[in-house]
Amino acid sequence: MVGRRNPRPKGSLELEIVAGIAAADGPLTAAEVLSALGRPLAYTTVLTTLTRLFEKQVLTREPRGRAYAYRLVGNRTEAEAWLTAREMQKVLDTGNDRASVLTQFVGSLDETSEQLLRELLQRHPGLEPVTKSSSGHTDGPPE
Amino acid sequence: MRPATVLIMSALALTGFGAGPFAVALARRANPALATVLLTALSICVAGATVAIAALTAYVGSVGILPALHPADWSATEIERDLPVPPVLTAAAAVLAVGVLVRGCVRLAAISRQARLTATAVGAMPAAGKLVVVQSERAHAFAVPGSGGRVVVSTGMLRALTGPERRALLAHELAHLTSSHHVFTQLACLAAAINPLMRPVSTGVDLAVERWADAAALRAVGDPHVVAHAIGKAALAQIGPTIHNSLGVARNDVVVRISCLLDARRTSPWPTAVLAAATILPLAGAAFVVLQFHGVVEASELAGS
Repeated sequence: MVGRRNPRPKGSLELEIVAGIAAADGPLTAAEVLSALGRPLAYTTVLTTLTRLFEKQVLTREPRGRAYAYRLVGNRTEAEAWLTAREMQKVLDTGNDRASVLTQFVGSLDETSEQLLRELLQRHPGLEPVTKSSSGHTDGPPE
Repeated sequence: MRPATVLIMSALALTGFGAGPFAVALARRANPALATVLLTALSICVAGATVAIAALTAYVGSVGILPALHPADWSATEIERDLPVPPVLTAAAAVLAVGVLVRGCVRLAAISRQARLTATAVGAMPAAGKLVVVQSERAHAFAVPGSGGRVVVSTGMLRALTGPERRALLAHELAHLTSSHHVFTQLACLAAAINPLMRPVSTGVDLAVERWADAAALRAVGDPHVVAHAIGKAALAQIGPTIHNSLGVARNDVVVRISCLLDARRTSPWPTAVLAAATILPLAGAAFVVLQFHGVVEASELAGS
């Protein structure tokens, strides 16, 4: 019940890589993906996974120097992406039964909790020095 | 003597009504997976006991009024002597039983309809495996069960986090899907519809499920600070441009979850044990009441034959 199984099934690296590429502004090479993941992985592991994702047509790639730079296929046009975003918002806005259907990573905060939260995070800065992600979005949330 | 025993045990069954807030407070310090199961069990037991006791009271109380609805070998005089139910109570119990059953059915229909609509909408979005990335500056991340399950994340959320924090986020959302957390939240939601006193327990299940997923994220990344920072930064990123609160209620779960992660002292076996007892007590009371009713009916059948 408590689920002590191996928490890292094969597909989770794929999702992690897709998430890393989606967080970046432009296409990423395998080396850039590796540094965006921010954990010790073999370069070849990343490259193999990228190739597999390309073959599954989840990613597209374009040559950059002697390597390939990968980007998410996702929505092909801006308009489609906008429609998907609107669809997501609609899903989030529908009815109060939402809570019972899907779970948001975090709920909303009131002012007191926001204050508390900032204090908590300051008191526990214990993160390893943040890995330089090529996306340049390693800083805190936008104010 | 029997009516007295039934009254006492009914009261015990009804402790579940009051046990809610107490159990929810305990659950914050208990193992999250066990807390989820126990809180859900508590709310289902109390909701079930509400329906069962109301229905039984109405049925047994109406033996003199509507004998045609009852088995022929029931002795109305015996039952009325051993379990005297005043007509007013009979009527009230009947109204209550029908009312809560209707409420429960309406809620169940609403939940499954909503689940179907959401799964269809999300299923149509372009996905990479289980992951749906939505181009949006707003910070959103949620799991949608059904047809294999999907994790929906906005680019706004992904950009607010570092690599390890994104891994924590994905592990958290995937845990919701692999451990079928929606089953617990939906059951508790249903129980709260049947018995509104179970609403705090339903909220407690929501929190326990989040902590359960946080524990899975912790196993995936290994460092509680990374998970805590992911949760905290995600919450602060949501405040961003507008406070978008589609739940309609301010939830302070985030602070509780982070302090649970960072404060290892909070886990001890005692809260789990007490929570288990608090769940079993009303269940035992309800079971006893049902058995008492059954005993009286059996006795009346023997006397009648």
